[in-house]
Amino acid sequence: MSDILARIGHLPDDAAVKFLTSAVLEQREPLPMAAVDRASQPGPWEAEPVRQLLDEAMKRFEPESRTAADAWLAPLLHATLRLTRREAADSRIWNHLALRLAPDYVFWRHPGRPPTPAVNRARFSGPFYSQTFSRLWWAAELFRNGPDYGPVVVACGNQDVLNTVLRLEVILHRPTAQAILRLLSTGAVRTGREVNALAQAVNTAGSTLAYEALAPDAVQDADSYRDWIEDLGNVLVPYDSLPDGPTDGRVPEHAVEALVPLFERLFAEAPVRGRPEQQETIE
Amino acid sequence: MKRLLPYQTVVGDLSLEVREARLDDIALPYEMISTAQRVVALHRIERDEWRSARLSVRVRAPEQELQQGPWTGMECLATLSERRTNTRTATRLRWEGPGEWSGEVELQRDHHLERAELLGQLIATVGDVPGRVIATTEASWTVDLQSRTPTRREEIRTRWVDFGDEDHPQLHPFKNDPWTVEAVGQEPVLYLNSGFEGLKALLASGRAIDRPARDALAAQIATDVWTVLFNAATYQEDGDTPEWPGGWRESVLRRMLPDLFPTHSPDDALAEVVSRHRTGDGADLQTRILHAAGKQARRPRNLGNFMRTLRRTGQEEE
Repeated sequence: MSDILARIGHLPDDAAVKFLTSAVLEQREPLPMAAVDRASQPGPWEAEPVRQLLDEAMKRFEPESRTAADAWLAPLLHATLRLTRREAADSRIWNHLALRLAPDYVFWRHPGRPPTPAVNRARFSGPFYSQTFSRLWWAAELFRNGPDYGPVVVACGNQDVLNTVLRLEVILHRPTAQAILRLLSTGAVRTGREVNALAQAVNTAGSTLAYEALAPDAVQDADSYRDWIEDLGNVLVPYDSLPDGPTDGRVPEHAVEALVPLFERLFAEAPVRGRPEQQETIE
Repeated sequence: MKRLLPYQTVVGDLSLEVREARLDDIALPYEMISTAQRVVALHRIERDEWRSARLSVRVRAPEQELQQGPWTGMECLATLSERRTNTRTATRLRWEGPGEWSGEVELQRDHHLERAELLGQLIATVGDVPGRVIATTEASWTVDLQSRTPTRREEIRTRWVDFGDEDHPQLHPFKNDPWTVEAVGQEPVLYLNSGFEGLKALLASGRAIDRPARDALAAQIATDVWTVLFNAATYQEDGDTPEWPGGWRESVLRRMLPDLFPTHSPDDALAEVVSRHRTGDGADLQTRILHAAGKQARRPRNLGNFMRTLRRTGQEEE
């Protein structure tokens, strides 16, 4: 076995779980790379650009400010590892990234907190919103505004967006996601508690209000997305400025604007921990 | 499920039907669409390289009720979603006449992996509030990208076995029981005891005179199945937030939680169940589970499907 990996491939969940013993998660033992290789299937994605990107992230950010690496890395990971949603929904690719290509990054970004020195297993292999790399990739995919990764930087600059908002089903409607981020970037919503309160309020109201009817989205153009994937060979993804995302259509601005005042109102009426209780919430 | 909401919703049923499916603009053979099971089987297609599917859908609502209700500015949406690929799209349907809408829903293959769920929703202004959901289709359609025949995967695997038989030592402790459920692994299995006198004869009977007894028995078996599946699905590792377990466990939870805690959102209902398990506050929970399992078991459609499963299994292994 060579330690240099040419391609990112697939490592099944059950195999990944077997390798993630307590000793490995506590870094008392290394991952058995030869066995990981035997359990993996090859894939088409070039490993080297992703590996370089992760090395660069660890160089740019001190361990104390590692959470700040998320906002830098998310757009670049999405633009470097170009996948369809269909491909990205397959957890095996994320297992392979974490266990084979870059376990060091997982240990660096998500060290255990004393008194438990172990890394949470889900950071290697777990739900899309927990796994080290899939959470960033999906955050970029779900929060970008067409080719513009700007909103992704806002989203990933706030750990509560990544930990809470990312897993809410309402944000699959792009204007809803953009409107939430709009409140964050204008400063109407600042702290983690406020983000959580806003997200819960939007989510709860979303069970009786159809945001999709109030703010219709445009269809995302799957063919343009394909073109963008195929274009990867022709571009160098820049590290010091935002890369260009897929030109599959921006979120209609009037749709975002239709939701912003509604969300401001929901937020004003929402209970925020640490904020004095206001009048009762509208249903 | 009808929830209690602070505004008037439609009482009658909203129904959705897929009338045609076209793949990259070629019409699909009719057997790829199962109206009875509400499934479109796209994987059955012999072409590997298709990119998109277009489904012609029609939604129907109780016409009279719509005319008499307080709703204005009504519109109808078809939503197509798959949680695994984080994809959800809404298509506005055309008004065709009183109580009827239709349109084309586009499914991009790159955006889906296993199964997409197709739902109809009626939206209206109620009071001064626009955008209210006033009706949702009771039964959703499944667009299946992975199975080869159009069947819903929620059916439980059923096996007739003599519980006293040497080949099944794990069933020996239950050899005097008519049935048992194994709820571990990828797929739960219902074992029916062929050594239990009269059970098979009754369940496989097609005679009209046996029907009341057969249905009652099937409902009882189904109640047990749902209860066991629910309890098995709620075991969770400790964590801050309860997680949806995926697979059959998740579909069991999603079906039963609304009957357990009708006023909660699915996420809140799940959190409630997990927390009650943890704190040992389970007595009231068991009562609720029994109620929800009974409801699942008695729903005419579920019971009908379940009976069909039992009878088919009986025939296959004879």
